[in-house]
Amino acid sequence: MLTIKNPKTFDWANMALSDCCEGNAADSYFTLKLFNLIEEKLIELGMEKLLTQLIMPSLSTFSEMEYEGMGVSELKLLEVGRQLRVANIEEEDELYGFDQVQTSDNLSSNLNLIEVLYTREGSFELYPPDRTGKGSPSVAAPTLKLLLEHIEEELKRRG
Amino acid sequence: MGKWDHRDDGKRISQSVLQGKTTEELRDSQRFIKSLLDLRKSQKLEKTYIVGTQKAIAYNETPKVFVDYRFDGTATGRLSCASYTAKKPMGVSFHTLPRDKENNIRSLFTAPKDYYFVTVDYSAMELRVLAHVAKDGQMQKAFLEGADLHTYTARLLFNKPKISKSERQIAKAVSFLIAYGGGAFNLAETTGISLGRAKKILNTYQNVYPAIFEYMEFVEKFIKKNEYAYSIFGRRRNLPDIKSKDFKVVNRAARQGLNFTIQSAASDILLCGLLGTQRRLKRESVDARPVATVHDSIELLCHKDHISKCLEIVYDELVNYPFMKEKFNIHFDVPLKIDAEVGHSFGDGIEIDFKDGKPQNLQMVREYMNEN
Repeated sequence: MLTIKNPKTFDWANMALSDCCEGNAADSYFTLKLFNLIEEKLIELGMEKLLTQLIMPSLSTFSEMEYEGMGVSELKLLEVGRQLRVANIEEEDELYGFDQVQTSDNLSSNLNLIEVLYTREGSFELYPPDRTGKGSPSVAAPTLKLLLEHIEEELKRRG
Repeated sequence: MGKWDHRDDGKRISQSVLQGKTTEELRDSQRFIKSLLDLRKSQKLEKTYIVGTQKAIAYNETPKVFVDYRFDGTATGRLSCASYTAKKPMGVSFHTLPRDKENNIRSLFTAPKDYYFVTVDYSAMELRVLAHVAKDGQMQKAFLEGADLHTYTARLLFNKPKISKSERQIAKAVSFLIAYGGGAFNLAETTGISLGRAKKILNTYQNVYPAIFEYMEFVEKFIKKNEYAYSIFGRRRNLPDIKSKDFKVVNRAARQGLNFTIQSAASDILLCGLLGTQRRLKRESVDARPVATVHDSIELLCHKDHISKCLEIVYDELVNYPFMKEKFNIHFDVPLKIDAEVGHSFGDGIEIDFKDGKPQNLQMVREYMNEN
């Protein structure tokens, strides 16, 4: 088998051709042995057609797609990246504009967000509709969405 | 922090706390949570796709991303696509690319000079597979008539000719829930209707599309007897959990089995379309090649002079599916339908109208090409 101890530091480009051939031959040998075993099983399970008519022929299609890759417009990357960053800053500013949020709050911190949403006096003082596995009030997206639904229901109820 | 209740108790207390708030306080909380969720979403977009693509370009030393397609990435037999490993940041997963047009992430991926992206999407593929395998005459009729399935279903479900947006939404949710193996509880959760109403709607759905439920029953019985499910392509998924003593585990295995018969077939239909298309393009010397596949779609790069021929081939291979007929002898009871676009990038383009398998609005495409 083509087994290398430290593949990250190994000098692949200058590997001896004989080692490379031997390794690849061993790889092919064991792959074929494995294929024969798997093929037998697949025939037994009635999946031979799927293997030979669909999966095997599509391997070259996928390797071609993987090799080709997808071109990226660096200009667009900058443009969309800038748009997103500006949007993020604006959204963050909006959040800090709430009286319930202090300038020292770090809204990326779950602990801090728990204080802002649930525990700190003078803040939003809501109740978490769910908690984490460890028992802390949850600020995960599904919980916040549920909380939002409850608020919307309550607002609707009040007309 | 142990004082916090969860699930039903938490929900109940949360709702009663809200009742004690002023309307202004509620509106503030609503705005805050909405903005917070929006911020998290766009921060994730930036981190995953902008930073991820920048890292990939730096790693690859060329403005390209490379992905790893995996046949064994999902239990359903669906193809998965990953960005290799953290140590080899060569790309970003196309399968999670958002469709959002506001921050059009898909527009980052562009075609080289003189080439265009041809993006072809199967329309309502899983529901077409469901109508076919379940042999449900009513659902098949909707597809054969070219009707919008969800409006058609809503009319039957609510027994009236004029349907509201939310009624169509409910009908759509029920159809997908059936395909994904959900029940009344999931329907109530996703559409915001009461559990009682969800149950009633599901009962009516059963009267509207009885063969779908007979098929579900058949699949469940088959799995219980054989401990596996199989698709029309012969692909199978072992489901030993069906023999569990825990009824929740048994139900999950039954759901997974039903979903497998539909999702894996849909995925293999796309694979047949992809192979057929690639072979025809090569055989007929069309300068076009597939560069990606994302869920029910295929993305091709096509030279500007070959767009018309490429579209004709793609239409034929995906809608008339000669490859699948020849190799698997599968003939669908319902027509397959595609939506196609031609554009400079993955994220924008001109929608193509087809008539008798031929693209109709190529003049618009030419104008688009000249403008861009």
